[in-house]
Amino acid sequence: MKSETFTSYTSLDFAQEPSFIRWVRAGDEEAAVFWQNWLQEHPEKATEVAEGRLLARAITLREEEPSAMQLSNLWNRIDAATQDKSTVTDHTPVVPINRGAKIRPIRRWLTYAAAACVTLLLVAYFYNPTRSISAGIAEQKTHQLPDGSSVVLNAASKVSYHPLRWGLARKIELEGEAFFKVTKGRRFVVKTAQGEVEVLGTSFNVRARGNSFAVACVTGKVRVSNPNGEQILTPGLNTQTNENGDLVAPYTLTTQATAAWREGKFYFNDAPLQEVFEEIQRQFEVRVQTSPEIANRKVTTYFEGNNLDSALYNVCWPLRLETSTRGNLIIVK
Amino acid sequence: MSDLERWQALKDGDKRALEHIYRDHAAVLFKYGRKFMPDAQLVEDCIQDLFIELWDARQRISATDSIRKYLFVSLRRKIVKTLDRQVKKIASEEPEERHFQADFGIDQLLIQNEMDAERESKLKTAMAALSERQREVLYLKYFADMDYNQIGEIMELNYQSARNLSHRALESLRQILLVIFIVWLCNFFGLI
Repeated sequence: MKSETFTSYTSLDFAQEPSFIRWVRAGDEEAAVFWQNWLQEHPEKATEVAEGRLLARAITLREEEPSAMQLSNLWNRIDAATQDKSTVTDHTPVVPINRGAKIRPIRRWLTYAAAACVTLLLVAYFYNPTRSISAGIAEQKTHQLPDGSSVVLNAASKVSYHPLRWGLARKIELEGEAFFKVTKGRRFVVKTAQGEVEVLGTSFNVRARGNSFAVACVTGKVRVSNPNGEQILTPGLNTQTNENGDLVAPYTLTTQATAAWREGKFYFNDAPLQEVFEEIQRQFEVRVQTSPEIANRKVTTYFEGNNLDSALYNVCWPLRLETSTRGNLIIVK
Repeated sequence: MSDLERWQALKDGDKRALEHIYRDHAAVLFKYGRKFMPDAQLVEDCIQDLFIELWDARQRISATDSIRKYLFVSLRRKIVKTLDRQVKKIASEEPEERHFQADFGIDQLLIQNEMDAERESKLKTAMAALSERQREVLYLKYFADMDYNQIGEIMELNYQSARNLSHRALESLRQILLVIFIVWLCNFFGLI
């Protein structure tokens, strides 16, 4: 290669120079040594060379490779057709050729099959799309899980799980509130940021919003745990976190009240008004504004999710609170 | 063994030389042939005839410094003849241009970060706008490792025409790549 002629090369010329192409595209070592040395002697051409590299590298091509089997068969046909005319001495290499042609495709095929199996397993293990179902504001959603268990999502709530791993571990993540009806079988775990609920086959309600984490068991048996401890719930029992983040001892709650949100009924038992207003915000797509003193007041109340005015009336009138509405904003005083 | 020696062995009637030549070049020939003929079976037939004829005529064949070039030239002639015959069967008029279909793309590594969808579609359009002869030149240059003399012989062009053809194809590619190139260069020198 004459190094001197290259000094007048543009990026286009470089991109068309065979040894340059071998360097860039095939990583040819001899070519690489040549061009790296050349570049060191001609640093002023660095930009042209860099652009040439980019150009030479840019084009790709999708093309179908002939299979080894296809090529072997084709050779066998050529071999047979040229057989008669070849002299006797030429016959000797024919045997090893045929053996090579017969064994190779099988061995190749096995290799491919094994590779395909491994790839498939790896893909199945790592490629784990999470399925997410979420209910928006003023919306409820029912979703059937792969094993026939079902989830009913309350407004502004979301669950996600791995459908492919579901058969191995029934694990579902929850943000918000949902009612679960679990078919009998393996461990079923609901993970939330606030704690975990583990069951065998049962139906139960989980609410995990903000700091509040509450679980109510309707049928079966449920184990609720968070970093501070755990509680076992049997039907009709309920537990929730208190101010210290501890799970309170199970207490009875009328089954009517438990997960009544599914029928559009919302019960609150000695809950801060803040919680009630947040539920109203989620059910009606409004914003409720009030003072901290009012928000912290504990109430036992009830509203229905079909009418905003009567819901506000139900909650606020007994407490002698006044409401005024400005578009989507409700001010409570 | 060099191409010259291998070729001489073939001329001397060494069947192993024929097999070696086949093993070294069959896959590339097949892929090149497929660009003209979507039907793989037809390409196989052409390659089969090519090698049988090569063997039958081994004593008369001229010397060559590049076996691959020789095979490409022969295969291309054979394909062109076959296609012409097909076309004449269907419509009795002279075929104007051979179809060379190569599904060119742009190296994803280059465009992944710097490219927005609009520019990528521009690139695709530019690739699609390449003429069939330009495609063939680019193919021979970048995927079959041929120089201009060889490309000229294969495509029945003179050296300068082959060069011009390739230059124009690359120039249009360069225009589009320029923007990517600047971004890439800035990254390279750590300016961004």
